[in-house]
Amino acid sequence: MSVVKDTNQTKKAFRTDEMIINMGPQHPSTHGVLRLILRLDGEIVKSCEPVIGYLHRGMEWLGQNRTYVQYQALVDRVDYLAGMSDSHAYIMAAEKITGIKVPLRAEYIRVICSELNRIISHLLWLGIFMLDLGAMMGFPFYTFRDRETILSFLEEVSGQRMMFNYIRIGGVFKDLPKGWTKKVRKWITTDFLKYVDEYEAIATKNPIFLVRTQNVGHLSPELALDRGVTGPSLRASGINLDLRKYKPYSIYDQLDFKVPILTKGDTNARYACRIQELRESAKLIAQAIDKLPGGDTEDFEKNKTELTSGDNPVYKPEDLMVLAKGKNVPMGFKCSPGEAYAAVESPRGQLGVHLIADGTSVPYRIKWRSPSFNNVSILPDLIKGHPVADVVAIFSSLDVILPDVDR
Amino acid sequence: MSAEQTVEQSPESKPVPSLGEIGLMLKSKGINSTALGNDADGLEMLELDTKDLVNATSTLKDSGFDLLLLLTSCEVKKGYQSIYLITSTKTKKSVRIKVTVPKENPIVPTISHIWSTADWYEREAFDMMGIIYTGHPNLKRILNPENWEGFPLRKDYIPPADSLNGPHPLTETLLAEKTLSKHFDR
Repeated sequence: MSVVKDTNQTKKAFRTDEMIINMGPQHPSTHGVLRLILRLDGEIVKSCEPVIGYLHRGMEWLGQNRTYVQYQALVDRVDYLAGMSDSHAYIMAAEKITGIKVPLRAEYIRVICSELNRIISHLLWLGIFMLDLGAMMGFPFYTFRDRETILSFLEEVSGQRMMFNYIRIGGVFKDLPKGWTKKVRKWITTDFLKYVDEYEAIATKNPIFLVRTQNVGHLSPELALDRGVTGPSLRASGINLDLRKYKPYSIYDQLDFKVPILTKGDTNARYACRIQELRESAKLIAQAIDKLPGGDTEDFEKNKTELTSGDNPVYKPEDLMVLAKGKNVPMGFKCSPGEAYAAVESPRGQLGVHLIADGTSVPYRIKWRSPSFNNVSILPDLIKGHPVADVVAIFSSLDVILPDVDR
Repeated sequence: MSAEQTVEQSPESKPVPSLGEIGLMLKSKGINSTALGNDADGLEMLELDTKDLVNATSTLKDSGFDLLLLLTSCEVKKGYQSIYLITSTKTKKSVRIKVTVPKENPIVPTISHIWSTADWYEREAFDMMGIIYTGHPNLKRILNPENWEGFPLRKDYIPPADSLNGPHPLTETLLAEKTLSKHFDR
């Protein structure tokens, strides 16, 4: 055996130069088309630059060239996993400017559907997150099975599986189908909670899962606020900011629910936060169905006369409609000049719409405040010093949807 | 929409709005602002001078407004506007600040050193409206391709023909040469 004496040769043999790796845009675990330019020292990430815009569809420009009503159908596509939240935010902004009052029954239906949508989004995230961590044993099939059940619920309501176009200016498209509320309430309070327990049994205390998630990608509350991170990613860092409690919109102030707050701020905390939100959403749906003004659709006609007649009616007749004044707003209505910002708590964080109207039937300026845009901007700070395998875990734990980033 | 349509900032018929709570707070710290009244949601809106922007935003951050929710841009008659929505997670107060810069020289100082959120938002406003943020560490296009021409959300922007499902320039050439129509006749 000869010992290598030439030090230059040794250096050549064991080069420790930094390497620049291009991850994406066509990478299965980038949840769409995100490109990351990683600077690596061996396996460790030294720096990262996200490149976005591959899914830019010009949502704002499109909105500024369509009437308020035409744009309704398009907004579900901003974040395709949370179409109800997208619609809700845009339509709340349009209603604030026009001053249209939404019937109480429609508000309840909106909340039921939005919370079902939150469960869909979290279930899809849970399956993909486990897949990204390397749990190739069919975990996503369980979550997708339950997601499919809810998708069929929402299909019965809106006629669409994902791009619902259900929430309309002044209310919702249609009343709930007959027998729907009973069916959903039964599934969400029994089967669904059992399934969530099953997921937790598989994942939460799994040693491999814990090693991959605990103390990985720590997000401090100061950095999170500085970067404008919202949603479960922020609440897992210990900041109590949930618009449903912070500034209750719609009828969230009439419902009783908890906002899960965790303090550790690592990947595991973000996972735990979303799992707890699944249970809270199920609670919210059951509550909203119980409190639904006018009751179940099959008894609605009977209840309606009972609740609105007499000396001391429980509801005014206009509360029990699903659309303000019982009809759709005209296709090309003109909106008085004004400005409004409406935001909802989407599954990914604060989703807002800033709308400026100039008195014509077309919005003058629409701006989307999409939570994923801010959440993905935190990625370079989180993955610094972690191995490449953790990049996928950390990115996945932020629950970023690329169409929502690029709009 | 045509390029002539612009937002009327303060119609003459309406009374001039007076400074709200946050406007008065800024005034007590020596920063002058013009009140724009409240929006449809009751949110206070202020117009600031470009040179006061950095001072005012850092004053707001020191007094508890810890979250920059949204930074956006808008075209008005006088020029381009950079709009900031700043909120406090503790007191639940929000304020919207607007800065107007002339169209020939749209330069706004950056606030990305006060809130890192502004980094990407300012890049987006530059990409879409062509507002130049001086002092920004990395001002380049973010959503559009780097070689994109024009600023899409300006009202005088003309999109490339093929992106509108309209006739592609090539189609017209082919039609002129009657190669395409021949193809359809068969």
